[in-house]
Amino acid sequence: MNSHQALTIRADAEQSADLVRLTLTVDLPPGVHLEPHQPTEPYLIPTVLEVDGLRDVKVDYPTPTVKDLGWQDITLTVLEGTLQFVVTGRAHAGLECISGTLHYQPCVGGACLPPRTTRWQSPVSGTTAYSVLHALAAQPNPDSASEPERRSARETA
Amino acid sequence: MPATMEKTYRIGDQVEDFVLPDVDGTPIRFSHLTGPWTLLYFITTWCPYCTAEAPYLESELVAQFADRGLKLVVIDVKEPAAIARTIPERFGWTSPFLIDESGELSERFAPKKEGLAPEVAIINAHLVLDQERVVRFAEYLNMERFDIHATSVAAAIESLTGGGDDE
Repeated sequence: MNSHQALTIRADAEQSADLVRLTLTVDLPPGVHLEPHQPTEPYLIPTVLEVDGLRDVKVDYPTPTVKDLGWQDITLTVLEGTLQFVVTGRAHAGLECISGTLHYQPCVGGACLPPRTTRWQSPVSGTTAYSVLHALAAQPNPDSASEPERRSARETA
Repeated sequence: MPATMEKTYRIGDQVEDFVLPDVDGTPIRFSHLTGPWTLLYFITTWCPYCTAEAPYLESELVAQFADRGLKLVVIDVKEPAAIARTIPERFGWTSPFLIDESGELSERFAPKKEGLAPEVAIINAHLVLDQERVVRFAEYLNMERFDIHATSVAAAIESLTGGGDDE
């Protein structure tokens, strides 16, 4: 792995009356995995998607795959490849923007890296794509993906 | 991705004495903590391998060799004491627990792994030092052969401490 590998996030949101539906698509580079939302072992750090400003939020997390790392009797389930998080919730009609955070711990090669929290946002009835550069490299402050490392490219509005 | 694995301290190198604070901020000299044999272990709160191994490290691995003079010294890497201290509290450790908040000390022990910062490359490392603080064994994290009971470390300690000149 090198420090230029990027995790990419694409947010697609739409609203009908007060019902908001968001699909967050996360592309992980090959060889990288995250822990699922409900890890198989208590010492693993779960992936958590949080959405700001919605009521009655329901998050459908991507289904993990089984990964046998040869740890004695422990079989891990992990998130790899392209991940889709589907969120539904309610907000006042005419919501213009939706935002939130994705908290995750990337693991690659022979190590897990410090957990990160990446902020994302998307116009409702639009799409925003982020390429989170250096997200998988160690950073001095693992608790925030700072603005300079986030490259935002609004694809459609 | 291949790793060069070149590191500052190699097998046979003597570790220079150093001073780090404990969880209460009291400066502790490393040489005051070592014994005939010392297991130096690097950890962070966010390291899943470390927290998987932690329940066994002191009570099983170190206890197994206590009568041969094995001491455990743990160094928390690049975290403030307020966060790091949750580890010994959580696992009931009584062994010395030092805080390397800047990560500078730990970097001297870290293997060089391409794309990984030293503070990541060093976590879950086990180094066995003799009474002269010479590195006699070192094992760094490999996710594919991770072992919560650190069996290979135990075997190395057994070999080093069991037969005198059998290293």
